[in-house]
Amino acid sequence: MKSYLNHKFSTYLIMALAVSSVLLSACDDDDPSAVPDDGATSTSSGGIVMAFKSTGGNETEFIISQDDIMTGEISAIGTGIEQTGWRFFYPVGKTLFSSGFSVDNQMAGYADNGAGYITQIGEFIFENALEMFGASDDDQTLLAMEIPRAGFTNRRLHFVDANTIFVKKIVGTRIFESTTDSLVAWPTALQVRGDKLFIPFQVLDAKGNFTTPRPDTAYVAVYSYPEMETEPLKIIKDGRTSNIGVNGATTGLIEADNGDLYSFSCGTEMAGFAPAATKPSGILRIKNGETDFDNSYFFNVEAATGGGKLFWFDYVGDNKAIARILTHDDGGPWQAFERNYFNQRLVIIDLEGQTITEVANLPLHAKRYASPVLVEDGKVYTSIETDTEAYVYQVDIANATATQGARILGKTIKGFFRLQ
Amino acid sequence: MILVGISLANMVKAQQARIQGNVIDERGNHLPFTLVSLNGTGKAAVTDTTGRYRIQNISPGRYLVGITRIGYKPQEKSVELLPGQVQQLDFIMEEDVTQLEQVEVTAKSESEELKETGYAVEVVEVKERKNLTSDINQVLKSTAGIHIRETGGVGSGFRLSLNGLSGNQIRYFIDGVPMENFGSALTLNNYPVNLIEKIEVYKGVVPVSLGADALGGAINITTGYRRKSFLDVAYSHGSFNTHQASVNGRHVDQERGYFVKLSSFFNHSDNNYRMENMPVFDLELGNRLGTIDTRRFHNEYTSGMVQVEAGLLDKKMADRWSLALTMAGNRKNYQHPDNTINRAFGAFHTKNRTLLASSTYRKYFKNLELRGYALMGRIMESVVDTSSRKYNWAGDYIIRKADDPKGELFERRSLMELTDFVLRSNLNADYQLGNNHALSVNLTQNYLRRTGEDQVDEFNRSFETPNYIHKNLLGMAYTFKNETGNVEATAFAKQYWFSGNIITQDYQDNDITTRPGFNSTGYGSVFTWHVTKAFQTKSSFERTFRIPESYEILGDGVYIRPNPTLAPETSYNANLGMRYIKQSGKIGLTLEANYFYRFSKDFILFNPIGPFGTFENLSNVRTIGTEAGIDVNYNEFVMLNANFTWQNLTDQTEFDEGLPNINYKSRVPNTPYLFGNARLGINPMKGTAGNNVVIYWNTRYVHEFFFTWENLGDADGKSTIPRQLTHDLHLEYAMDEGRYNLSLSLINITDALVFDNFNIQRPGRAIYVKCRYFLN
Repeated sequence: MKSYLNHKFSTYLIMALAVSSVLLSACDDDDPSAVPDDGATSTSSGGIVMAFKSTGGNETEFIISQDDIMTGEISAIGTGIEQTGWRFFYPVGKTLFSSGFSVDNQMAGYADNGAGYITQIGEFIFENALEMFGASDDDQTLLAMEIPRAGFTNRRLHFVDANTIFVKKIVGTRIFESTTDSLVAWPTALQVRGDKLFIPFQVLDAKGNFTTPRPDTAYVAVYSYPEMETEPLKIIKDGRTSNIGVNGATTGLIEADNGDLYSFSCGTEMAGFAPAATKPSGILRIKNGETDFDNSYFFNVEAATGGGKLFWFDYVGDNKAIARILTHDDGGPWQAFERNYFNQRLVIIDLEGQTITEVANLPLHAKRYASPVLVEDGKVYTSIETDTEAYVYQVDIANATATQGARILGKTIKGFFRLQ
Repeated sequence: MILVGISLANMVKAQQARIQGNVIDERGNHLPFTLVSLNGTGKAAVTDTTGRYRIQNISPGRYLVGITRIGYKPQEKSVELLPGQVQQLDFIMEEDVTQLEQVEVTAKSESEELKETGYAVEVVEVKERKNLTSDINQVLKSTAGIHIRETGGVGSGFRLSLNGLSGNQIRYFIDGVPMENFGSALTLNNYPVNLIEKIEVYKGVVPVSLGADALGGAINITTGYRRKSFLDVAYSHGSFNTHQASVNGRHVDQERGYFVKLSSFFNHSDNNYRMENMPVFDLELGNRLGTIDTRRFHNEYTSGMVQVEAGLLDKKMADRWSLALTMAGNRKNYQHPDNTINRAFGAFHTKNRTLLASSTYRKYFKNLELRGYALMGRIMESVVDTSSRKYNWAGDYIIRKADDPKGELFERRSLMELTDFVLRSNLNADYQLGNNHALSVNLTQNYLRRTGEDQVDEFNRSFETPNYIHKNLLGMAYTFKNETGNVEATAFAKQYWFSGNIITQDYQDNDITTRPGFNSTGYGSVFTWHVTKAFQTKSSFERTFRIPESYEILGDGVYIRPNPTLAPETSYNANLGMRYIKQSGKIGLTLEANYFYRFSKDFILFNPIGPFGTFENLSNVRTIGTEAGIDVNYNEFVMLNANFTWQNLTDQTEFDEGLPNINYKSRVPNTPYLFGNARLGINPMKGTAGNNVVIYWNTRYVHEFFFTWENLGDADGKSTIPRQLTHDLHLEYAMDEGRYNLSLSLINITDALVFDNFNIQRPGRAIYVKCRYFLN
């Protein structure tokens, strides 16, 4: 009995040693870096490149590419360049910038590597999150601004080479502040036109609460470009509508083909105004060559839509803009950035003619953030999210009609781009 | 067996006398099944499960009472019995080490007894590691089912996961007192092994005696209640200018029934280990200049603790009653933010000051044991980001302009001081009903009041107005044991109450007071069956909760908005395990395997809303896993133990804000799922008196895992935490029966580049020397 047991035990011993030798067995490569040094990825730069946000977990974002986005599905399963944290995506020419908001204070530039793949061509780091973006007229320079949230302090505008992703210079400016009234400026666009840079802004409480103590005036600061001063040349105001722009949207001010600039004002509690504006939501114009608001122009969108408020717009050519309208403002603070109220409607606005046309064949939806739009052959792509589904829609600008495309197996597509 | 009768007195028929008493070991544990004999009379009794005995119908006279128990030194006491007298006669038994080695069927240690219950519990005795340079985390790390992820060297942030649940889902205790919110100087990685005796790890199912809202289990550290005087002084020095010192001593006066105790530690490390391929960015513009290999230059960590305790023993009002005062503090320099190495710091640091006063109480009545504690404390944590310097990994810096308020980490320079006041108390009663039934009741209260002040940033209003939360827990358990003792079953229920008072500012800066409150009921059962003497099966189940932490409900007062409607995280935990223990000749073998299942709902995650965000109940996770271990020793000359853990955590959240979750049923990322440990010990001088040498070899393996969802993104471009394989070698030399000890530890011998967290490198090869003086 005893020897039998001992035999059994020696078997166990051998087993145990085998287990430990498996544990000890080698590991040869210790390379921790996943991305090769040249930054090349295996994501195609052909087709339509998209900034894709997945569902679940931390809603990881990916840069993916797909030739046909009008049929089937769009997903990041097995494809796409993984991103870190919540990011802004902003295209300048054929470079796609991806700017970390929540985690890593890092900006990366992606472009076609000449062999049909997306490559990371450069990166830099910044201090506070870059939260507002623009581009030079020649698409050679990205403008990106750090906006500190509390206190009286410089907003730092980064001038970034779109080919090398090198920061060429940083200019600090307050844009506007009032220490006596505890007010600061929150920019809502960086729009270059010729030798001027236009920065519309919201007037916020300096404490960092994002409250809007002076909602009922539109403000734009005007600077020289590219030799930007630390103080604006002037600040123009207009009392016909509210502070221009919405937090997170980079298109508070857009330029039409003829050089006219158009701004949108929202003023709603759901878009972060506290208190909400009493002035109607609408569009103002700065004519080409001018640096003042056009007194003869105000498109009262609220009146034209029977109470709707602009939440976002972007230029789509031919003096037209695509826009989202909040059909009501009953959701509570910041709720337009949530998925609790599906009260957004897509419209095409004739900026000059001051007409508004609802895009047909689209459900009411909720959409939080969008990169500048991609317009091709009179069509624009958008991601439309209802309470249970997300789809790509192709919008025909001239006819204001939408066609449902591929189903999005994710939360949203933040932007559509061409890198080739 | 020493059973010698000495005297017999008059055998006159008179009123019969009786003797009765308790038998405990040196730590105060009851010793059941101990033979108590009245020499020369043939009368004897065996202690019951609570260690009590009674011998009746004794003729008055003088007797010698002897007690024997395997594994303990036999004792005798003489007693004079008067007619009709009921004589109380208690015994404290001393362990007999020589006897233990001789007998084939050894007596069960306290740890062994705990392991024989139905709980999925691991008990780590630190006795044999006290000569090594090690803290509690290092010891826990090698336990099956546990994985600890560290962000750096000594004092660095860590996250412990136990069978898939982690962080604050696991609750920590020291001698049964919850350690939550004790401050950063009293976390497990600060405690040198010399201050503690053993670590109990309850996996998933936690006995009611540890009153806590533990979602995934609890870890209880015990410092030992040995009724013996001793002194343990140790000092270790090694790589990265690391010093670790500890003093642990106790004086016990059995005669007068009191003890005094001093425990203290001091830790310091420069943590200046080498980092490879660190990115260097231009300080003015932020452009990437390249990478360098460099040493960490701002990562010093210093911590210290002094605890003084005094108490009474074996008094009428209490078997043990003590008062303790604890002072602790630390300073921690941060080389980089905890989640990225892109930025380097040169001044950012945190400080902690903790002051605790506590009292513990223990008393045995007839069939009732009462235990309790009360604790109050003040914990101050300062986060110091006041430097206007900006550093990079090359160690260069610039000084920011006067009008630039940016700190190193925060948007504005800041000196945040958070002060917590905690008040905790607990009462636990165990009642024994005959040999088969036992009842336990536990009442625990836990109050936290938090205030904060930023000395530098006038715009930071976090916790300007004090907030409090209050947790209460009532637990009840019933245990049944059959006559032979091979089947034991426990059923329990726990009732949780939570209340709070929270004052926050709304979007327009108006004060809003919220009073969140809820109650929840948890329950569970534990069952074990010793099929044979060597083979045991066990199973346990619990439905449990984690009440949200204060910051999850309260927010940070600035960008994390409060969410008073936040619900507790809840989990269904089950374990199925088996143990096989056999001693045959000189070979001892233990095999253990455990299957675990966790279904956890309403995980609390941060949800951004515009520039703000709140913590919300967002995700469900299921964990299925297996862990197994083997422990073999040959005559205590060679010891080998090895274990592995495999766990599969899957996301069971079907919808994300209404949309189908693409990761539904996928493996949860950024969580290790396969890891193992092996430890080989050789004791070549076994048996020689006086001096001793022991050699240990440790190997740890963690399989590569993905940083984000495995199925998403290009396979070749995915961020991973690479496979970790590390080896450590320890040599120890003990002289003069263990009074003087010297050890050498070589950690990470191969200098492997290891990462626990994405891109955040851990220390390479390190050497430590430790000397220890132990007087028993």
